[in-house]
This record gives sequence, structure tokens and C-alpha cells, in this order.
Amino acid sequence: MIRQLPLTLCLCSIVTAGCVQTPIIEGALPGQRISDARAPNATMHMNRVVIIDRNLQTEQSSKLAVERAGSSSNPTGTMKVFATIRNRTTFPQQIEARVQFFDSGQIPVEGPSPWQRIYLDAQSIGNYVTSSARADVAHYYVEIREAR
Amino acid sequence: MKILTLITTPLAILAMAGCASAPYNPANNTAGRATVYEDVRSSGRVQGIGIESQDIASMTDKMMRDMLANPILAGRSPSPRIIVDSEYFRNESSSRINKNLITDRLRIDLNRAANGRMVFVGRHFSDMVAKERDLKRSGMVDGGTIRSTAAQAGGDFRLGGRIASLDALDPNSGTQSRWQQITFEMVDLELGTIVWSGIYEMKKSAQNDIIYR
Repeated sequence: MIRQLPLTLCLCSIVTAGCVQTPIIEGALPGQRISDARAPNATMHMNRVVIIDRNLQTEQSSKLAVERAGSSSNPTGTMKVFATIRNRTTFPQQIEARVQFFDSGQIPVEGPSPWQRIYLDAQSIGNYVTSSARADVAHYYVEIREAR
Repeated sequence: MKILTLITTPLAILAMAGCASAPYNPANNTAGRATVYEDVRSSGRVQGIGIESQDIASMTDKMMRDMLANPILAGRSPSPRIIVDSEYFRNESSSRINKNLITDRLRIDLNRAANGRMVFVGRHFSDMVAKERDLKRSGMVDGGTIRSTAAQAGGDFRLGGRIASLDALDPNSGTQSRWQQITFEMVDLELGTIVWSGIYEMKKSAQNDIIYR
């Protein structure tokens, strides 16, 4: 019976390997949505300020800190969004920010807005403040990149 | 031993299945195909110290959002009639620019976003409207299907503004800098008061070897 053990394992491996078929690439590819616990930032989170430029922030280090961010309502019912960004470096920085607005169903209703330039002195803070054009807005998504 | 075989075989299969976890699909992080098109909202390959597409897109968007957040302009009932054109929007700067690029974009962005909260009077089309009204009233054409009015619409507010600049030139290096200030003001067309103001400014410096046409 001991002799049968390697044979069993060998057969088992062959069967398992046989199941792994090479996929055939043909036709249009559906868009992908990355949902993987190892990449928690690979998806979009509403009501968040994100830095999309690796020159400004990587997993290990960052030149900026997003100190405050939030939203409120204007008297006309449109949404006001703000983000306070701190320059962590001892150099002046120029960054750009833009916003996209979504309704309560997370359907995009506006944007993206044009990039707005923000000048940050060394170690200082700067603010990005903007408003939605429409009143039926429930969520925002602010992106920041290095100015160009 | 038969029992041992029965135990080890499923274990071996499970172990192999465990190795086959879903692969992480990394991004194909390479540049896209080269093209002559550029994003009008970002700086392009040809850059100078004048007013460029990204400046116009940025300033009109900022003014549009600010106006729509203002209850004097966007919170009235009935909706105010607004004239946005380049008639009273002056270019006093050293930048060569077609002012209609700014006022047309602002009016169209506002009209699309306002969704009835503001009504826009096409004063720059008034001669077109006058000609058609004359044709209708002379009997040359019929009255159309919408309605007839005693006169064309009068405006409640009208955009005025100014593009101004201050230039500096370093003759040694040929570097030129230009500070540009663009002001936008909405004027009450009865009282003459300014009910809303907006300002957009920028300063650029470069070897000014770009020609704007």
C-alpha cells in the first residue's frame, strides 16, 4: 500500500494540472473592476480627497497631508466642497485639484471640473474650495496632482 | 495503509487547490499612444506666458460655480434674465486673446448648469431676432408656434469685466513675466449696482518665444 502512495499523488497532480486550461483571447475585453484585499485603494471611495500623483505621494512617503476635507450646502442648494492641504516639505509646491460630483445613486452628474492651481508655501497650508453647479449632488471625489 | 492513501490523496488535492489563488491583475502602467490632441484643461506642449486654454477653462468654471452658489443670482423667483457677452468685457492686457472665448464658455456653462435658475438673453443675437419679428409682423411669414411678445426680453443683470496685465522683462536673460488679472462683475441693469464679483489671477514667467494668434 505504501507503494501506491506516490502513484496516487502523481496521478492526482496530473489530473489537477490537466484542469488548468490556457484561456483563449478573442473578442472585446470587458472593463475590469479590481477587487482585491491586497489592493484596498484600487477602488474609488466617495467623499474622499485622493492624491493621484506618485511624485507627491507613494506608499512610503508623501509631500502633502490632507488635513481637513468636507462638504456643506450653499444657500442655493449646491454643494460646497473644501480640502485643506499641508505642504510637508521645506520647498514651495504647486499642485492642482479638481472635483467630480455624484448623485445619491453615485451616478456622475458633473465633472470632472478643470484643474485649479493651488500654491503652497513651504510648510504651509492651502485650501481647495469649490461648489457644485447642480443641487442634486450627494457625493464628491477630489483629485490632487502636481501642477504642470 | 489503504487508510493512509485515502487521507493523503484529498489532502494533496486541497494543497494544490490552495496554491491556485486568484491572480492580482497589475496595471499596465505605460504611456498611451502618441496623439496630436491635448487636454484643453491642462497645460499643453506649447506654453507661454499668455492666457491659454487651461486658464480659460479654469476661470470660467470657477466663475460659473461661484455665480450658481450666489442666492442673488441663482436663488430668485422668477429667475433673473442675464446677459453674458463680450460687449462690456474689455481686454486691456498685453495678451492677445479673443474675449468671446471667455464669455461664450461662461454663458454656455452657466446656461447648461443653471437649468432654469437663470434665464439668458441672447443680446448678441438681437438683430437676428429683430429681423424675424419684422418678417412676422409684415405678414411675410406666419407667427410661428410659440407666442408673440410686445418686445424682446430685457435684461436684469449683465456681465462686465476686464483683463489687465503687468509685464516685466529681464533684458539679460530674455525672461518675461506677466501677471494677469481677470475681473468679472455682474451689474444690475436698473440700479447700476454690482451684485456679484469674481476675480481670477495668474502670473507666468518664461522665455517669451511663443506667438499667440
